[in-house]
Amino acid sequence: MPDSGSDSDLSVRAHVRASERFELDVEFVVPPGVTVLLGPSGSGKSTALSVIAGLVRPDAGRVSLGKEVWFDSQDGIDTAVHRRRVALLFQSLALFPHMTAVQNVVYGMERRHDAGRARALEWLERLHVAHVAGRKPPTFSGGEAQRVALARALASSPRVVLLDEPFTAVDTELRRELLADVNVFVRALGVPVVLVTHDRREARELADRFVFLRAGRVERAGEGRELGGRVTVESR
Amino acid sequence: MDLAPLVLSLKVATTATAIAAVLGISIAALLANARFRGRDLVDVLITAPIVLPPTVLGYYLLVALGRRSFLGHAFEAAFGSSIVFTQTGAVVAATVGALPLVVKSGRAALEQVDPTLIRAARTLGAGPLRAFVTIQLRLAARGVVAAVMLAFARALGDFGVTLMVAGDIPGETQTASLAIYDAIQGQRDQAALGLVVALAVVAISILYVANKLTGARDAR
Repeated sequence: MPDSGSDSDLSVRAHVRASERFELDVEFVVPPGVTVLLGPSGSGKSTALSVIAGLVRPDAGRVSLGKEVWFDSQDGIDTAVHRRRVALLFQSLALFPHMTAVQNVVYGMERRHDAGRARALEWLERLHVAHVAGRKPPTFSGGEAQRVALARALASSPRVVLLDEPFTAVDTELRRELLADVNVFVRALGVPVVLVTHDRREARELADRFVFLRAGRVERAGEGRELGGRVTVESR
Repeated sequence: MDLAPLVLSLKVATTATAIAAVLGISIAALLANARFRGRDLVDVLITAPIVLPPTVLGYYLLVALGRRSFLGHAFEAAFGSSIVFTQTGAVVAATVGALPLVVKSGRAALEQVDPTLIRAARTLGAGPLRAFVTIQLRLAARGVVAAVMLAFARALGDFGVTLMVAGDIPGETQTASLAIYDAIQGQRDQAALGLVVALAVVAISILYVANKLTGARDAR
């Protein structure tokens, strides 16, 4: 039940009538650590992330982080996107093309001046992209862009991290490196993390818990180790 | 050549453009980003001046802002002068003509910006205004500046609506366009020529720069 979780659990109960043909009707809890959101294309994974971030307003339901209620259709609560501090790593990365890497990272930080800049540089260093600090996204390689976007998300002191099929556009080698970084740095934040993926091996390696969606509903949910190959995940 | 009409035109057009820019960009932002009831109606009303005959538009403005209208009466009580047949009237006429250009082209430029970038800014803690100014407006800057420049050119050349609302009072509301008409009517062709050339040069230069701005959008 959403309300019975601990103080830092993310609880989601949402009913979204996205279109005539698609309805999302889900209820799940994300404790600190990595929860992998699985399911075939069109099962509602991205919509679920948008609900958590506050980008999509459910028709009914409740979203809360610990005791803090972000959305409640009955009480008329709907916390604005920018006050939730949910880092969402978009599939397209959504780096701001007119800003340098450092400016991109600083954008999401609360202190945006000298102290912020120094911390932004630290994040870029940690993710091995300090060399592009002063350059703008159109000049980045695929891997550099992924790392800067990850640095920007991590540096924003997020209270929840959402990763929407990240790293799909990069080769296998780089993808493994990036996922290793996610595993180390994102986990270190100690906040609930939702990772959407199609990749079954990736899901097994990273998941503390999993939620499997099908046609807008939760089909199964459980501990990551239960994933051991029994769930059939659509491959791309 | 009497420069007074040209100076007045520049003054009126500058004021009108400033008003049209602030109002127009706000309306363009609303039309581009917000889904609300009556959005299409707002769009049509704002753009109507492009297709309405100047006399029809002028008539509506006279009715809405004349000395016996509520707005005209309130304005006169507050500022001691009427809107119609004054420079204020000329500014209103020029603004009404310029506004649709800012809204139409400004909206198109704003809608070109990838909405994911705006959503990303919001998730990174930016409120709606900060996300709009630092991401959407900034990335659409070339298009928006071009739109405002075109609005200025349009405001500078207004004839019909100005004549209806502000009259043709030399030294008071006689803008360059009106002075050209007067000069031709009075067979003072030489006096007209200077103003004709001046207006044409300004308008065509603006069009050239605006085209450059929108054409080179990828060269950020």
